[in-house]
This record gives sequence, C-alpha cells and structure tokens, in this order.
Amino acid sequence: MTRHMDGIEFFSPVKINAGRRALEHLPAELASLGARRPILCSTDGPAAGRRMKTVIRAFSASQMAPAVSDSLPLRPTESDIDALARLCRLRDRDAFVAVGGGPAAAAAAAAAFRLSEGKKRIPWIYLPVCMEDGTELRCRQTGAENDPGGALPRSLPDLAVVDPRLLSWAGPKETAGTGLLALARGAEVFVRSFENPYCTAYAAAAVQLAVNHLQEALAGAHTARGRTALAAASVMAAVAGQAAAAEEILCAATALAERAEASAGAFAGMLLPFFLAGVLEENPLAVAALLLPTAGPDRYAEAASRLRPGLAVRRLADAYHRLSARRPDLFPRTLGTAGISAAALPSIAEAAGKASSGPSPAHVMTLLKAAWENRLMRLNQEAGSNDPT
Amino acid sequence: MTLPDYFEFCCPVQIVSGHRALEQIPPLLRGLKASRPLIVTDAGVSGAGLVETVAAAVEAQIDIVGVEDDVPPDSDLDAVKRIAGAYRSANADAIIAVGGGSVMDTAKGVNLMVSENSDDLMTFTGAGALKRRLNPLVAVPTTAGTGSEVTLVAVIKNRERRLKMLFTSTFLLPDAAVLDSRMTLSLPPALTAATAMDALTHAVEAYTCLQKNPLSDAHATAAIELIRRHLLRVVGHPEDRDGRLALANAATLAGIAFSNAMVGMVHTLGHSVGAVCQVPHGVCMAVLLPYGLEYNFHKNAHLTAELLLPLAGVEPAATTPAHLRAERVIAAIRQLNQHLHEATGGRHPRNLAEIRDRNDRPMVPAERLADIAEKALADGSIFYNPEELDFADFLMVLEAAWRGEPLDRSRIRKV
Repeated sequence: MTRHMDGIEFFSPVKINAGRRALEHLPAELASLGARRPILCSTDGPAAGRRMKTVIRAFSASQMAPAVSDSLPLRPTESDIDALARLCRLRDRDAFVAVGGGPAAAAAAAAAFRLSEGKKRIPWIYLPVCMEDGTELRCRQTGAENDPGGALPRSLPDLAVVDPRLLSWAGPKETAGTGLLALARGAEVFVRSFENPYCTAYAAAAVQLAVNHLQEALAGAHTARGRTALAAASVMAAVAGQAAAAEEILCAATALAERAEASAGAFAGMLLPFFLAGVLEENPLAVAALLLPTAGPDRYAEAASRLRPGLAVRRLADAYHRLSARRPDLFPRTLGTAGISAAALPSIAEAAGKASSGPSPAHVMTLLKAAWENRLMRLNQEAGSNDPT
Repeated sequence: MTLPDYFEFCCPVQIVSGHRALEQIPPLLRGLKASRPLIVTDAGVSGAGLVETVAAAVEAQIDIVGVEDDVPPDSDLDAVKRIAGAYRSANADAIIAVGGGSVMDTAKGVNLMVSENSDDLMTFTGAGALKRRLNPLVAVPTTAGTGSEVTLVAVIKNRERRLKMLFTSTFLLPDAAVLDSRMTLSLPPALTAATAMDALTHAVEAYTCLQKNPLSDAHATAAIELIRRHLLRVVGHPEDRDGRLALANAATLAGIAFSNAMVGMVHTLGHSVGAVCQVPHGVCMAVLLPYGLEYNFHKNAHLTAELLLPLAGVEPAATTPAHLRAERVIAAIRQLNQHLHEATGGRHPRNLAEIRDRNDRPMVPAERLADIAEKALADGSIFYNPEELDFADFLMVLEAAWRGEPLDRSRIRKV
C-alpha cells in the first residue's frame, strides 16, 4: 500500500505521561509549563474525594500547594464554569488540573479557555479516571448542560497523566468500556485517516494496546497494568480522533447509550465491525492494514492479502463478543438485546448527528441499520468462519 | 507490544506536508500572531535556490524581513549571536529555518536568545532552563534525515571555550514543520541515501533501545516502512516527488520516535566518528547500524525481529522462522547499504574504510579507531543502549565496521 502524503497535516499539543507513579511528575510538569499554583477540580462524592486525596499527596514532596474545587456537578453549566474561573482568579491560580474526564475535564478546559482569552494562556492537565461516559475522550467537545453540542470553544489539555492509582476504583463496565471506546475510536481514525502516518501512528498504538489488554478488564482489581494500558489507549485514540475529526462511532455510541442501559463503550464495541464493513468497499487496503495492530505482525504476514480485511473485522468483532459472552448484562450482543428498537434508530441517528463535529445523521443511520440487520455474514464467510455473527 | 512501567510522549509540533506545503507558511505564522519572519539558512541551501523557492511561495502573503544565509556546517555561538543581532535590527517577530540540522540548531539558539532577550546562551544550557514559550519558529527541512524539525534539542559550539553547549527544552521545539517535496528534489543520490539511513537509524534505535514506548514504536515502524518503500526508488529516480515527500515524512516520524525514545550505541559511535574524522553523520549511521544491532543481539533480538515486516515487507516476514528474523533484519540493512552503494556509483560506503572525502582520501584511517573509541566513552547517548560497552568493546565494533565484516558475537561481553 502506497500512501500519498500530499496535503496532510497533524497537530497534537497533548503530552502523555503514563504508568507507575506518574502523578509524582505533576509538579515538575507544571513548572515546565510555567505554572506553580495549580487548582485541582473534580466532581463531589466519596470516590472522587479519594482520588483527589491521591493527587494532593503527589504534591507533598514539592513546594506547590494546590487549591481544590471538588464540587463540580455531573453536568456543569455556564455558571459553574464561571464560578470555577472566578475561583481560579480569586486564589491566584495559574493552571487547572482536571481529576477525571467528563465534567471535570469539560469545566477545566472551558475555564482555562475563558481565562486565556486575550491574555497569557492558562494550561490545563487532564487526569483520566475511566469515567466511561464517552466524554472523557472528547477534549474539545464535552457537553455542559447549556452546550450539548460542544459549541463552547475549549482548548486541548497540555498534558494527560495516566496513573494506575486513579484507575483502581473502576469496575469491568468502566474499564472495558474505556478500552472499547479507545479501540473503536482508534480503528475509525486508522481507516479514515489512512494516508496520514501521524494520525495512524497514534491510532495503531491505541488499537494495539486496547486489543492486547481488553480482556483483562474483566479480571478484577489486580490489573494495574491493564487499566493503565486501556486508559493510555483512550488518550491516544482521543488525540488521533481530535486530529482526524473522526467521531462517527463515538457519536453513535453515545447517542445509543442515552436510550439504553448499556454504556457508550459497549455500543462502540458492538458497532465497530459494522462500521469497518461499511468502509471496506471504499478503502479495503486501510481495513486490511488494520489487521497489523489488531493481530500482530505474524498473523498479518501469514494471512493472504485478500483475507486480511475480513480477518481484521472478524478479530475486532471477536474482541467484543468475548466480553459479551462473559458479561452479557454489561455488553449486550446486539442492539435488540440492548433494548434498542428499530423504530428508535432514526431519532438516535439524528441525536448523534447533533454533535458539533459529528457525522451526518444519514451516515449514522446507515451504520445503525447495518448493526440492526447484523450484516457481517459475507465477511465472516470470506474470513473462513461459520459463525453468522 | 510491551507497556513500560512508565513513559512520556510529546510532540507538539504542527506537521504540514505536501508538494505545495510552503504556501501554508503565511497562515501558520498568522495563527502564531507573527508577520515579520527572518529566514535563517546556510550558503549551500541558498546556493541551491531553495530560499528563492520559499520566498516565492510566501512573499505574496507575507513580508520576509531578511535572509541570513551564513550558518556554518556546525552551528556555533558566533553565528547565533550574529543572526540574533540581525533579527533585532530587522525587527523580526518569527524565524523560518530552511536547512538541515545545523540550521535548525542555529535557529533554535537564535530564537532562544531573542525571545529571552539575552546575549548569554550559557545560562540556558542543560535541560529545563527555559520556562516559557519562545517566539514563533517554522522549520523547513531540506534534508530528509536529521529530524531536528521535531526535536527539543539544540547543540551549539562555543569555539572560544572549546565546548559544545547542549540545550534541551520543549520550548525549543519549532511551532511547525513544513515538509515540501521541492525542498529535497535536488538532493544528490548519495546524500539522499545517507540522510535516509540517518532517519532509519533513528527509527531502529528508538524501537530497540531502552526508552521505547507504544507511541514511539508506532512512529518508528511507520518511518521504517516508508523508507523501505521509497528510498531505493528515489535514489534511482531523484525526480520522484511523491517518494521525496514520503522520505521527508519518514525522517520526521523517525525524529518524533527518537526524540521520545532516545537512541543508543550506533549514535554513540557515530558522534565519535564524526567528531574525530569529520565524517557526515548519516554516512556513519549507515555503516554502523548493523553493528549496533549485532552487538545488542543477546539483549533485544526479539525487538529487532519485530522490524522485519516494516523493513523487508510481508513475504520475508511470513517465510522467515521466528528465530531467524533478527538475523534477517541485520542482513536486510547490509543489503540495503549494498544496493545504495551500487545505485550511487560507489559513493555510499559499506564500511568505515570505504568512506572518502571529496579528494578521494580515506576519512577514517585505521589508526584513528582507538581515538574514536576513547571519544565514545564520554557520549551520553550510550545511556539508553541495552548493553554496556567499554573501550575494548567500542574498539572491537569499530574494527569490524572498518573492515566491513560481521561482528563476532562470541566476543561480546555480556553484562
């Protein structure tokens, strides 16, 4: 496959620090950003409180004394963001640290942007905690209550810090959901931005990490490395997704999750094979190439080239179905078993298309219909499987 | 893919690639709130007409306030001070650096000096001395090799004090790297080969040395695959614009990989051969790369083996048994050097003894190998190499590389 690199662009200002004791690097990272007086922000509640204490402890060996705002609502409004920005000014703070995705990241990003307008830029740092509501992956497009489409301008974080201590609270639903979202988003970027080696580098790393560690998500609390891998994969996929503006699966999965008990991650994992099957006709080389991060170099090299696209789709479908077989309550097999009716599909597609950089409702509808009708039979047959799913 | 206990990855440089990417410089500068760029380059680039190409692409949209084209082959403090003075006199507010590694390093030094409004670069040496963003800097590489358009390092010679000053900071990173095929179209085949082998070495060492991580791996393998697909064709058909652009991107991808994962003993030895014998860096990398992989074989053959697919393609990867793949990677690199040797009419050397200057004199006499080994002992890049080396180890590798014979791996001291 020859890629033509005429007219490609890539930009990601986000530094990624991931792994054991990553939090302890925060003071040095803040200093390197020219900040010395951070404000930590999170939602309230016991779990958020424990995570906040962990982050504060990471500053104990430094000269920095972070301020804390730990009562953000789950759906921050404009006035919540104003209040956070005011608190930052009042306490003479020079950086935001969002402890958690979703509301914390949305509020920190929006407040940093607001305070930076026309002045010296205020940095913000994102500490993922596997919120698994789909929004932690959308640095620019998180939705405050008055801003469901993400119309508020927001800056990307300067740094994302993935520390296993912040991820230990999450159960299988959140951990696997985060991995599935990373996998789906990474795979979508990989095939949509196949000509762009910078996007595909981030996407391939995300897909490979997610595939390799997804099943560990159901293994209980003793998988710090697996959790770190999945959370890091989600950040990488987010970076790639932001750069490529490829969000069809994420938007569709988020819209589905609002209508059913299953999570956005579950729906993303369910939809991914159908999305790839749809891409197959227009760009079979890209789907074939996805077999490499999905299955590794040995299987990629050994597979006949005409079988690679089907094998890639099949392998990603299997990754979801293995989770589904073990926990059908969290990861339903089909849209129907998730409680989604055929009649609801048009309105779900409409909702997915409302995101500011989201796909057209028609595209989402095509994807949802393919998933509803379970159209993977032909691919499975080509890949040598008798399993109709 | 192994997830390290802890890793960091960062590349906040905006990448713009295309056959007419230069035309994107004015909007890039406007986005950075700059409107009066100074071009920094060297005489070779200027003489090749590349500055005129850049100027023609941007002048309709933006005023270039000056062109400084006297950057020396090794960037030095005098040049930095002189160009910083020109920047201030012209009331410039940005730099467009057009050139290779020396031009990039000089531009980073000038940008540091004018942004910090200081004349004393020494106070900013080392890591982390910078605390704030510098003025806008757009990098336009004219060789596809060094990757310095995406690295956070600048090395500047202080001739008076006889030392090399090292500056490390994310703030030194250019704001944008503009990769345009017009900038490398006139690169001669031998130089194309050497610079691409430099990029290949960045990628291979990033993948096989100690500070690798999943993102550096992905950038490294992407770079290696691009070099495999395009290098020999471009050396044979220098007018191949798509191939030129692909190699430029390979160098940038490899630069991103090694800037995050660092490099190892191939660079240690290459720096020393360059310092002692004034051999171009890419030439050193081409010759020494197989030896680095051979020396580290007992530590990281499994990683070397994983490079067979991007380096040699599907067929060799599918037909080579797993336990032979690392050997085949090393053989493939030697084979690539052989092909480049033939394609350049012998100008691309296969061993240290074959390296010759413009007057066809040997540049690396056998009697200098001990000096090179001595010099290598003080090079910091060895820190990330999987295996340790002392003077005797370095000398053993250099002697084999001088003769062009494979390393006798039974003689390697396994620490």
